[in-house]
Amino acid sequence: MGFFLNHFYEIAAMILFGVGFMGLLLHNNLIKKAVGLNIMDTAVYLFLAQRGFITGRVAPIMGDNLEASVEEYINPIPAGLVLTGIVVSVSVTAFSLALIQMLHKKYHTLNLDEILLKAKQEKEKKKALEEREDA
Amino acid sequence: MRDPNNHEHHSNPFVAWVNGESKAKPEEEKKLTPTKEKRAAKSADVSVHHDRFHKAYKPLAVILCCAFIALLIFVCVKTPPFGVTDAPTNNEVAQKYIEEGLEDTGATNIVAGMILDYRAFDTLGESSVLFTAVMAVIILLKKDGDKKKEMTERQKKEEALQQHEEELNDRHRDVILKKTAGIVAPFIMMFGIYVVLNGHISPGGGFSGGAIIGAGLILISQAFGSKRTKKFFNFKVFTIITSGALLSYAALKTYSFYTGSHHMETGVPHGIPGAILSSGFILPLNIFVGLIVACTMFGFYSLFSKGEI
Amino acid sequence: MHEMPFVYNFPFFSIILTLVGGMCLPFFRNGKVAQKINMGVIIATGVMNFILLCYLVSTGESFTYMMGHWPAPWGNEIRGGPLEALMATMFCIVMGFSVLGGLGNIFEDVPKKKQYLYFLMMNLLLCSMIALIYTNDMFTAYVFIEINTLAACAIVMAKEGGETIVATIRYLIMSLLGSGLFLMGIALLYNITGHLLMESLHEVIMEMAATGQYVMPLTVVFAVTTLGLCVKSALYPFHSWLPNAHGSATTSSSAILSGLVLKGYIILYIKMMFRVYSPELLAQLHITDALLVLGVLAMIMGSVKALRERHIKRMTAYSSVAQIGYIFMGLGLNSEIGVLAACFHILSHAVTKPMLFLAAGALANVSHHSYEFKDLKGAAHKNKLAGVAFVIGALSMIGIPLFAGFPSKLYFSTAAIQSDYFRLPVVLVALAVSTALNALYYLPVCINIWRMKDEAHGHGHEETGQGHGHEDTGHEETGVYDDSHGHAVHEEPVTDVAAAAFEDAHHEVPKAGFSFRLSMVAFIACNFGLGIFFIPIMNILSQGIDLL
Repeated sequence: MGFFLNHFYEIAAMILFGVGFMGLLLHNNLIKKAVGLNIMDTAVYLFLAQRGFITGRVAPIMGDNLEASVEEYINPIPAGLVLTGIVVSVSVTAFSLALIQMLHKKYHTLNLDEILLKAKQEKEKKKALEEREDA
Repeated sequence: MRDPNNHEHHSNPFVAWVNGESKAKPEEEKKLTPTKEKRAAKSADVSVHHDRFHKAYKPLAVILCCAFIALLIFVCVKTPPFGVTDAPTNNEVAQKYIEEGLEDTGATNIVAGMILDYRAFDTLGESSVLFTAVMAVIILLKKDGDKKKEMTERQKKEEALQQHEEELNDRHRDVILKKTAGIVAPFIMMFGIYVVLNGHISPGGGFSGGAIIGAGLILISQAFGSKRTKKFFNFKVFTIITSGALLSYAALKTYSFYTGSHHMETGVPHGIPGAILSSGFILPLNIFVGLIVACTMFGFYSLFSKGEI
Repeated sequence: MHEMPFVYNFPFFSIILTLVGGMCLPFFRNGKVAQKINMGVIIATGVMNFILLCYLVSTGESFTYMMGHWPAPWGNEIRGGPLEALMATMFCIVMGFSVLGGLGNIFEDVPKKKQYLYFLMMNLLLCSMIALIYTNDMFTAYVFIEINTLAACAIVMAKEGGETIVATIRYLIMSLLGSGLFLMGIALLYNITGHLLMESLHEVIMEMAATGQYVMPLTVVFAVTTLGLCVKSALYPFHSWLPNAHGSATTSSSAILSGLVLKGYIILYIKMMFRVYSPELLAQLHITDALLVLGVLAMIMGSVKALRERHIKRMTAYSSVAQIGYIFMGLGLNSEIGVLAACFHILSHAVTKPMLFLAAGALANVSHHSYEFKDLKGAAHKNKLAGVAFVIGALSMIGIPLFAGFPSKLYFSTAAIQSDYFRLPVVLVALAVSTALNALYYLPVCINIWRMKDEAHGHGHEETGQGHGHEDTGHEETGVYDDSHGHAVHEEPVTDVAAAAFEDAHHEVPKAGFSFRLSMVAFIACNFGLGIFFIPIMNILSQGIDLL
């Protein structure tokens, strides 16, 4: 049990990662897929952030004391990685939401299966129309 | 033009296949869940296959995901515990960043010094991701002026409805929202600018400050209508600020990468630690990043809501 | 270290040049200007990388280049060697000619006001691929993977229509799954090593392997990053997005996606194999065995799926799935010669597949933009060069001597023979079956496109084709290339009376522009070049792999 308490945040991050992964794979609703993607990314940030923390130390921003020593501050690298990751995930989310908006405008549904079906029907209709024109 | 020998070709399946006349196998169908009518129309055999595949797919995927989670948790338990000092991540890299960060970069915010100086190439890539995303959204959502003729009736109706709603909104805009926004927005902007300018000496920086400024712009656009914001922020201004800031960013970083790899000094003083005008390139870089982020945030909002900037 | 040769700057210059070339395009907002800038950037990058390649091959060394003032474990770095320089040069060549070859289709498919954005995405795509090739840092690789994903999705959906957007969203979802896994892998790796730079990671990992510490987390990390990159490069069970995305995009996009984008990730994986992990360790943890199995499956299943397709672009896309399988199989053989064959196959596929896509696009252009086999019958007579190029591409994919596909198959089988008794039969049988299947789906198309439309009117049609052929040469200067949105394609006056009698209204034969011919000839030349002079290229590759 001590194991689990020691690794509390990591385990939470991993469960969230799995939840997001499942959401991305299993949901047919595109918005839910996007949410799943975000949960997945956020889980990685939680994982990185907890990795940077060291008990009893503070955030790496120097106040009045400019003579820094390692014993005072937590690890700054995960914070930087999380910052970069957040911006990347914002951009990716915006792009996927834009795609979803376009699809909704075109097919009036958010269900991926229905969209695929409608796209296929549209294609067949177009083909049939062309064949009729040819004839 | 019909082939007179067509029926002959069809009689021989192989020849028909070579000619490309045989139908493609409907292999994608099993991935689709058609509506009930559609399913009924299909042969019983196919629909049984469908159901079986779909019934099996979900539990299988759930089991797979659970196994994956269990595996990852197992890995985590094997790694060093939370909050200890002797984890492998607390190595000489972190030590140098903390102990020599101020001397090397001049920034009292060590994270800012790390992302904008030590690992600046990553951050340049990161800003480019934002730029790529906003340009991709423009490809998708920005309306073309000359495409109106090609629109279908339905789209035209939707457009008209949207315009009408917007006009109504403009006329009956909520007084409380307007007044509050009028009071709050300047402070939001001020705070955003403060966060950007103090990025190297306090928590914050270009990304967070830029997001705050972008939120302020969105509030103004919500409260006073897009026509107001358009007066000072149209597509041209947007491209000039975004691309200009990004190009200046790239130029500064190119200079520092080039000098760095050739072991030359940049010739930029670090200043007094803790002062606003200190830490060399980090302040201008933060300002450029702030501009890019503010513009892209507002750009995303206005492209999503109206399809234009 | 103060006396660094000037050529060592070139990888950095090419990354920055392509990035700036993309960033400045919103100022011009003009498709034609953007296209010229794009071409200039590609040529400049290609020349720089070629010079670097010559220098590195002659001196036989590799180098690391600091991105900033801070040395190894603290700052970002890029790393170049003969392998990277050769790949970057090849990528520039293929990219340039792919854009040129599909220029008419780009100006036709992409709305006029957004053409500059298409070329912007091309520049960013090239930038991200070059950065992926040269990177020496895992997190930099992640950031550029994301740029690559976004730009690749953008060039798929640049062609308007519901089909491309549906394809894009499927592509995006799978890609994001892949990069999410890759990011998780990096986070776990950082967790147990505390480094992100490849060399430092390698040291720590070797130490761990020696002491037996963290073996289990290490295995999972390898598996997760490998899985992420496999999803992104469309290895068999994760390929479902590929045919749609490659089949529906505009011709240049399909060519670049198939020929280059998938390979960027594989090259990154090869670098990781040698510079972060080590091949012995991967073999010990059975990662290479998994790659071998998946690769063999992909070789066969990709070909079987291609066999069932009746859409020329989708068929070519499924063929890519099979070819990716070859490359991963080579990596999975876990011998130097296997990796060598995989690297060569990256090159030969990169010069062949874009040619196939461009030729297929051109053939569809002359048969009312239909990609179905039955509509393409006899299309090669209307655009002879495209027909010839398609046949050459098909023969190269099958692996006929003299073409680029042959040496890689030769080396694959050599690698198989040198491996153990268990892998030998599996790989050889898979190679044989896959080659037979390749022939089975490519040859009917080749026959079909060169077949007369029907026996009775065949002669007349041939004349028609030739008549238009003459006209093409006359008009080539004023062709598609000059017209910003491709109206010239439809405006061709039918002067030949005899031909006009045979053609109904929408039966006009659009011209193949000068740029298309140039790119076809270049691709054919590259194909023969790789197929005949493969020994020196193999030498460069093996030199590069040794230096990794």
